[in-house]
Amino acid sequence: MTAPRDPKSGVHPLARPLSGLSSPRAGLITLIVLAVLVVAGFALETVIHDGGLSKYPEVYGPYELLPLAAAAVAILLGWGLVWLVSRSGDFYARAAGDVKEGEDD
Amino acid sequence: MTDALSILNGVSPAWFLILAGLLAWASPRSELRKALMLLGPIGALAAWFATGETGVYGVLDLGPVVLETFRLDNLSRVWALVFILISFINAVYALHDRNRMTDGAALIYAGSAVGAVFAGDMLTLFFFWELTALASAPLIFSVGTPEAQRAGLRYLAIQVLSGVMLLGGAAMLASQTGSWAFDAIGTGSAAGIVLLLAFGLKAGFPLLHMWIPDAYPKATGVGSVVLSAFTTKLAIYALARGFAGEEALIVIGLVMAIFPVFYVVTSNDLRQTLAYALINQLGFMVVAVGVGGYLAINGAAANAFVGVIYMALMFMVLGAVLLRTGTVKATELGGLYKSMPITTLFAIIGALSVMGAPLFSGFVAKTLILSATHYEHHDWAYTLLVYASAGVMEISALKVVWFAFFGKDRGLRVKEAPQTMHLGMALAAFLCVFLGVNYPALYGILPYDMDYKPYKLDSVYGQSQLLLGTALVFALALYFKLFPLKSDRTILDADWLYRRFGDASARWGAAMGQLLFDAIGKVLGAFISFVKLRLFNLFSPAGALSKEFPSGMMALWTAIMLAGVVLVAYFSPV
Repeated sequence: MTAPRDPKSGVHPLARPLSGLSSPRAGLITLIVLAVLVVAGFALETVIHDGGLSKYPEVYGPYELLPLAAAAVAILLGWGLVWLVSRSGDFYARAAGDVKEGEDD
Repeated sequence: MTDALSILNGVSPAWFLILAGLLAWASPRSELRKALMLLGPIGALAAWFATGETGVYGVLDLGPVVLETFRLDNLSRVWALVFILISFINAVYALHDRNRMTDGAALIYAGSAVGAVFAGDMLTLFFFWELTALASAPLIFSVGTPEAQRAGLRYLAIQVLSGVMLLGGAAMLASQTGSWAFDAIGTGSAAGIVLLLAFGLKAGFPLLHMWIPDAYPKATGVGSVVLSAFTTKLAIYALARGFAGEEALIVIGLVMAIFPVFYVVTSNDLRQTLAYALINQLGFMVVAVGVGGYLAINGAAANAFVGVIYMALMFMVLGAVLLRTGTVKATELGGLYKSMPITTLFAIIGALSVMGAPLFSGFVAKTLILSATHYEHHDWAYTLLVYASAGVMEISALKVVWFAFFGKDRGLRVKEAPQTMHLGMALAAFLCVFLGVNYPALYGILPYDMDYKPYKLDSVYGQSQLLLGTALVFALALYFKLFPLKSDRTILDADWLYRRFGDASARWGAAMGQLLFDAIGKVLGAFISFVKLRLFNLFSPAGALSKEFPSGMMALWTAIMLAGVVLVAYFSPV
C-alpha cells in the first residue's frame, strides 16, 4: 500500500512550477515574509488606532499579541506533554494482546 | 416545481435517507448503491424544501404517548439542511468506494441524524439517537483490523451508553412533568443533569471526549468524513434545544476549546489532530449555547453549519491522502503537493476555513460567537476563545497542510486522488468560500433574524494579525525544529482511564473475584463435609441414633420435651 518512493518522477504537471517550495530557502523566505507582515501589522495598527494594541479596552491584554505568545507557549509545552504522557506506539496494542512481549514493534 | 414538491409537504427528509440506506445495504450492485447514495440526499433535500411552514408533522398517537416525528422549526431546519448537504457531498466523494457496508451505513447514519434533529419528543429523539450509534459503528468496523474492531466496540459502547442515559433522563423528566416533549430542559433537576451528561457524552465534554480522537482516526477514509459530520453536531443541536443559556456550559466549552491544543501539537496522526481540532470547534459551540441569546445561538448554528462542511473537507483531504499513500502519519508524509496539487489546493481552502481566515466560512461563523460573548460581557470567555482560535484551530490546520503536503519531501510520488473525490472536495470547498464571501446566504438560514456585519475593519484586521502571528510562531517552531512531533508514540488521553486503568482494574477485580469464589468454595466444601460426617455419625447403622435406648430414658426425654412445649405455650402472649 505504501507508495513508491522515487523523487525524480511522478511530479504532477500542475506542481512543476512550484517545485522549489519545499527547499530550505523557501522556508526561510516564508519565515521572513511572515515576520515582516506581523511587525508591519502591529506598527500600522499603532499608527492608525488611538488605542494601539488594545483596541478593545474592555478585553484583557493586547488583543493579538498575547495569543501569539500563547501559541508559542503551547507548542513548547507540547514537549512537556510528550515527556509526561507519551508511551510507545503499540502501548494499547500490547495491552490488548495484539503484540506479544519480545516482538518487534 | 413548487406544486411537484407539494406532495412531499410534511414528509420528514430523514425517511428518504434511511430508506435509501436500507436499499443500498440490500443491493449487491455498486452502481445501484451509488445511485441511491445520490438520490437519497436529493429526495431529502426536496422534502426539506417542500415543507415550507414550520410546525409539527408526522404525529403518531400511541395512546399514553404522542410521538412528534417531524417538528420543523427555525432551529431544526438549519441542522437538517447541513446534514442533508454533507450526505450528498459525501455520496459524491465516495463514488470511487465499493464498500457495501459503509455505503448503506453512511446514508442511514445521515438519516437518523436528520430524524433526531426533527424529533419533537424524547422517545423519537431516543430512537434516532440510538440509530445514529448503530448506523455509524460499521464505518469503523469495516476497516477490519483488530485495532479498528476494538475502537468500534468502544465507540459503540459509549454511544449506546449516551442513548441509555438519554432514555433514563427522559423517563425521569416525564415522571416529573408528565410530558415527553423535547424542549428547554435546564439543569434544575436530576433528570436535567442526566440529560446534559447524555448530550455531553456525544458532544465531547472534557473527560467524556476520548471516543472522538480514539474512533475517528481508525475509521475508513469515507467513514471519518461522515463521522466528523453528524454525531457531535447533533449533540450541539440537542444542547441548544435543551440547555441554551446554562452558564456552566461556558466553562465546559472553554475547557473543550483550550485543552486540545497540546494534543493537536503532539499527535502524529493527522486525522487524530483533526479530531482534537473538532473538539476545539465543539467547544466554541458549547460556549455559544451557554451564553444563550439570539446572537450566540445563531453563532452556534452557523458554526455547526460551516464546521460540518470544512471539517468534512479536511477529513476528505486526508481520506484521499490515506487512499494514495496508505498513511496519515505526519512523520511519514511530506511534499505531497508535488504529486497531489489539486488535493493540496482543497486542503489549503479547508485550512483557511478552519482557522477562520477572512473571506472563508469559518470567519463569518466564528465572529458571531466572539461577538456574542463580547456583547454579553463574558470577557474572559472572549479572550480565551481568541487564544483557542489561534492556538488550536490554526495550528491544527497549518499542521495538516504543512506535514502532509509541504514539509520535508519524503519522495512519495503517488497518483492524484480520484476525480470523484476531487468533485466531493470541490463542492465542500466551494461552500467554504461561498458562505465566507456571500455571508447573508448563511445568516439567512439561521434560527433568528439579525443585522450583523462580520466584515468590519477591526475584526478583519485583528483576525488577520492573529493568523499571521500564529503562522509566524508555527514557522519559527518548524524552522528551529521545536515542533514536538515523534513517530510511533502514543499520547495518553482520558481514554487511558478505561483502556488501561479500567481494563487493569477489571482484570484485577476478576482475579480477586476468582480468589474469593475459590475461598468460599473451599469453606463451603469443608462445612458440607463436616455436616455430612456428623449426619452420617448420627444416622448410619453404627450412628448414635441407631442405638437402642432404655424405655425409661426415652420416657424421661419425652416428658422434658412436653414440659418445654407447655412452658412456651404458657408464656406466649394470647
